Amino acid sequence: MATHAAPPAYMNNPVIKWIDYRLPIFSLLNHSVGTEYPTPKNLNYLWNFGSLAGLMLAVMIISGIVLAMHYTPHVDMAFNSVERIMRDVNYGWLVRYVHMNGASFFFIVVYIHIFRGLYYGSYKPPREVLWGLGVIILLLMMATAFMGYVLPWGQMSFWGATVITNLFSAFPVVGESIVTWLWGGFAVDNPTLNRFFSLHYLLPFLIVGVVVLHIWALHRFGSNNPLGIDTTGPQDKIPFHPYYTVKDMLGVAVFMIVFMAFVFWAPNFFGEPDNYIPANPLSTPAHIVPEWYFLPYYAILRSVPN
Amino acid sequence: MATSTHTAPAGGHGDATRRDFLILATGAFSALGAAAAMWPFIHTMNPAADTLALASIETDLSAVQPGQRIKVMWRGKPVFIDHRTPEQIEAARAVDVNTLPDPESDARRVKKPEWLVLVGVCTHLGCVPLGTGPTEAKGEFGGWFCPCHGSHYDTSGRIRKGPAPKNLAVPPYQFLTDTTIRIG
Repeated sequence: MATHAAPPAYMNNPVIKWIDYRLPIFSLLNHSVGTEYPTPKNLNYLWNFGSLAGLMLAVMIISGIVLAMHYTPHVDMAFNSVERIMRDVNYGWLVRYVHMNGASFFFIVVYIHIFRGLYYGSYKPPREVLWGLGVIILLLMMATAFMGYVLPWGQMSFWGATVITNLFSAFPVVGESIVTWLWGGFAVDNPTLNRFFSLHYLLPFLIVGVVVLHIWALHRFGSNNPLGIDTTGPQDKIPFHPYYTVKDMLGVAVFMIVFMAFVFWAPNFFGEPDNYIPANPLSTPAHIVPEWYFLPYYAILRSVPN
Repeated sequence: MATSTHTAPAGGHGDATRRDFLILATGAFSALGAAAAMWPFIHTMNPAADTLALASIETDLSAVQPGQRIKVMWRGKPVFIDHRTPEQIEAARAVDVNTLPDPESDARRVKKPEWLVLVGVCTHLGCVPLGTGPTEAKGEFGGWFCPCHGSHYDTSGRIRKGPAPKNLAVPPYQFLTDTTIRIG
């Protein structure tokens, strides 16, 4: 198979040639996701989830930027500003439901991506750094998702923030001081909400940075494949474009059908009704549970006796 | 569909293939889908329902004496309401319209001669002209004076001197009763 196919036709365009000579961005693209990126020819559909995770990161950032235009990070106004997004802002309900369900679908995609890596041994040498960067991305995602969940300032937001920040009090000696520092006060309150909003906006861009490193490390040795044994030569590879671009696009189409089905027909399926009650520091909800994507860690937490 | 793609190479351009058709059709369909998906995100930045709900105001004018001017907020901007005296009306109507930078007769700018309603935003660069408060400078023509770059407006709110290109705008309004006005 032609792993180093001739440059694509658009590279003969004089304008593209002129730019590419000075800023080889078209060459970079072609080496990254184009005809000059050799990819194992036996990848199955589990290899779609990397591109889907990238798609979800973009969807979350775009919908999040729009939401931030209408959201007010203040304890007295946060809940109402979210309700205003739902009722008054043009298509605000759609953007918020995309962002809300997008969090769940981002985790679904990323968990499948991780289990694919575990099952087929994608973490093995020489891809340890690639795996490690992925773990960092997951941790950043968890922090981002947790802080985002606090922003609507409903009951679950408030008590989730209270419980998780209180975890830090378990550190000996300095625990209490750390918690006070996280809160910026003596309880979860306006300063906490403000810093969570700030960090919730910041961390996704850190994730983008780590994703760039993640892809860079991936392209060092190329994708693993369902055999778990690296390809021995060009005869086992095909160009990324058009073979995997078109396969990724099919994956995007199928994924979007499922994602949009939830956004339009069951937008609160993954949510907790209690979070539509404004935060009340005087009353804890009867059943306080994290979002589904944190349940494994919550189970670990609950199994620790004290 | 299938027939047309089969016949295309034979009938028209020699190098048009079924693949070209598929690529073009897919590209066009994707571009359409992307544009449709972008629209809700763009539309969120237009005025929301609660903003539009406040787009008109009602004001009681019964306390405004002849010669007195008041300022009310409408869509985030000041609106000047001037209870004009007969002399001010006369001054506004005595001018030869054709000599004005933005020719417009006073009769066309008011619904009732004694009530002049203006958007209080200078048509030059958007400052609020002085002249509504009793102690403020009214400019050389007894109307309004913009302190930013020195535009003078007359007793009909028309630009007479200075850099502003247009007369002060008249907002849409109607009198609900003799002394109640709805703007917007």
